[in-house]
Amino acid sequence: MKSIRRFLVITLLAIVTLANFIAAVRGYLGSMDEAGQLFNQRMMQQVDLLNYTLPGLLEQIRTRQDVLLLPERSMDNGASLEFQWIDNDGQLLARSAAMPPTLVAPLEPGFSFVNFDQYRWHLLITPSADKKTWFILAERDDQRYRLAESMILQAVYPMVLAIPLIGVIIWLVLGIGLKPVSRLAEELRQREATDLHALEQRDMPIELVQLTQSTNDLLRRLSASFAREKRFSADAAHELRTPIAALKIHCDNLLLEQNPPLASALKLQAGVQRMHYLVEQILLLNRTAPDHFMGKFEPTNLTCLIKEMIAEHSEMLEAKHQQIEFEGDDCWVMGDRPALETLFNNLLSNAIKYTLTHGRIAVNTWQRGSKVVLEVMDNGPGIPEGQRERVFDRFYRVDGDRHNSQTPGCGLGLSIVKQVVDLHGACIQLTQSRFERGLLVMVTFAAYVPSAQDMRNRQASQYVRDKSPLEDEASTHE
Amino acid sequence: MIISLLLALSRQISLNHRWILVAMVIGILGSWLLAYYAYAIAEALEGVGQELLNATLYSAVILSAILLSLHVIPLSMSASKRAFSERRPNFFQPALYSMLVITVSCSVAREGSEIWIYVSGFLYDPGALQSAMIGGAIGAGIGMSLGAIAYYLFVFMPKKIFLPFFLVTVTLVVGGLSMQVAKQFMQIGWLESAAPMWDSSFLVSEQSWLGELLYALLGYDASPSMTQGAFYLAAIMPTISGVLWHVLHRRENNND
Repeated sequence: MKSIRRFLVITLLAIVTLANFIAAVRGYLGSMDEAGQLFNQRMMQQVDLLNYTLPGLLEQIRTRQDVLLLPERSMDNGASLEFQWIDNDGQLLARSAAMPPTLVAPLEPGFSFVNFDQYRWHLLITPSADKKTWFILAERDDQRYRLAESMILQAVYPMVLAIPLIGVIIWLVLGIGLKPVSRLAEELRQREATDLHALEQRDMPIELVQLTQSTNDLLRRLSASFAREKRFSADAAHELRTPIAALKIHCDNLLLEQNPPLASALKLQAGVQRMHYLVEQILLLNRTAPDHFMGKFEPTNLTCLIKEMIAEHSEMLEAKHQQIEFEGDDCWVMGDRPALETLFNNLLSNAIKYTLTHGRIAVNTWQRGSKVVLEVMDNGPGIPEGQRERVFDRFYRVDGDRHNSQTPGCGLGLSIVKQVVDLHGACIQLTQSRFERGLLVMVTFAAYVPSAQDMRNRQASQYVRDKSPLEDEASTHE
Repeated sequence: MIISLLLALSRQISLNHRWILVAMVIGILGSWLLAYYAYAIAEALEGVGQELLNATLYSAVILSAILLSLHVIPLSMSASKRAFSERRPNFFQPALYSMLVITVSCSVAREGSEIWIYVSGFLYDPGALQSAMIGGAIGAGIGMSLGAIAYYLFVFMPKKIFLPFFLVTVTLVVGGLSMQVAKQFMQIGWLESAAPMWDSSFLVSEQSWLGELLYALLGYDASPSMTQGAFYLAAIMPTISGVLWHVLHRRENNND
């Protein structure tokens, strides 16, 4: 069964049609019999009428020497009654205009059929009340049939016409009756993947209560299982921190004790560093996950924050002899400062990591009407267009593990960036760099208009900034 | 009845229902052509065109119904679902659809042409046309309602019961049609109309409502001739032998 509604409409309509039409056929046949009886009765009444009128005229007609012809009077589309009046010798005394001048049947009393004048006729042959003459009453079969049928069909018409109407009504009523099912389906369809709250059972028809209870039971189990799964990665990463820290210390000690250090010990140190980085990234990912995020949104001076972060990365930039340019407007956004730091840190780290020695990096913050655009651009290898959507997937790295950045990475950096962008209702776009090659990352935030208090905070932070190595808005690290 | 049964079969063995549209279009077009050229057909081949065409249409229905039955026999014998799907390789599908289309379109063309002729007879008598239309609507309503109810009854039948039921019904229908083929050949004198084998009209008269229902469903004949009997046996033999072969085959396999 593909559709309950269709099944019910078809079967109910079929049952109603069958019952209705069989009743109609039965009624039709019964009514036709009844109508036949009625017509016969009419013939007998006509005989009574003739008995009252004609025998008195007998002597008068006998003197006339010819047949009395009575005019014909019949209704349109009606069944007219014709008659012949015959004496006991078989001599025709009178007839109606439609009857032939000869006897249409032998004088045998009773009802019978006879064919004349190209039609089939019902006959009633009966002697008159004084037994001196005979009456033959005749009625055309086709007229009688049509008259009876036209009366009976008036009762059958509505039955036939009602069927489509009943079909539409059943369809609509079932639609109303099945509404709770479609409402339940709609509620489930519109839910977010993460919304595992129990379904509302109030006003639910009893037929659906069991289904709703089973669904709620399933949702509860799913929710518990999701929560376990979410906690696991965070707990595992957290628990790994201490042994990794211990490993790191022992590894450093080992290297100090060896002179010159063994190649395997150096590889061990790199592995431990990589593991440490991975665990930190997993924890960061977990902390910025929408359902775990505990941050506090407040007006933040993005330009200021970025300058500080660039200053923090000066060591890494100098190590690779990379050139960084910063230019932009004084931009404010409503955001969580640590999360924004994580976002920019990951973007800048990626740019430094994947740009070659002596490469160029440019960072800009632009105020564009009600939007603030943060740009991080490099002249590294860039990301092929087909892979730009996928780099936000967890553990996805461009070209797998074959890239030659020589830097630790686990493919979580851009996933974290995406999470922070989503948390701030911003959007991120990866395009071709304006350098001859490389990647341009554009993050567009909703701009925040700072109040006087924010400006005072800004001046305070300016004082701190003046003491930092980054001296000008367009500064260069070599 | 036959359409409901075939539709239910295609649902039960998970076939697409679209074939019914193709079959109905072919059937209705065919019936109109048959009705339109009815006079020419009746005059063709020295006046035996109509009978020969009827016999051909009946034979096409019989043949495709027998092939369908032979296809259904192994399905009805295999109890497990795995064997059920294994026994229906993909290359069977087009053949299966063609058999369904042939059965339904030929039946519809044959019966439909009579309806066209009946209706066109009333076109020249507007008074009678109205009552004929109502009668037609009532008849069609009853027919379609019975068909719909039968379809859902068949669809909700467990497969284990439906498939044997299908085989028995189709075999009886095929037998009834084969008697019609024999009747057509006897009417044009190609076959001797020998004395009837029996006369069961005292039990069920062909004119009674039960007789008419049995005629419509199974091609009931109260006094069939020897030739008709032979045709009947020839038509039901392939299915019966198919069933017997499969029963024996399965017993042998079980013994092994």
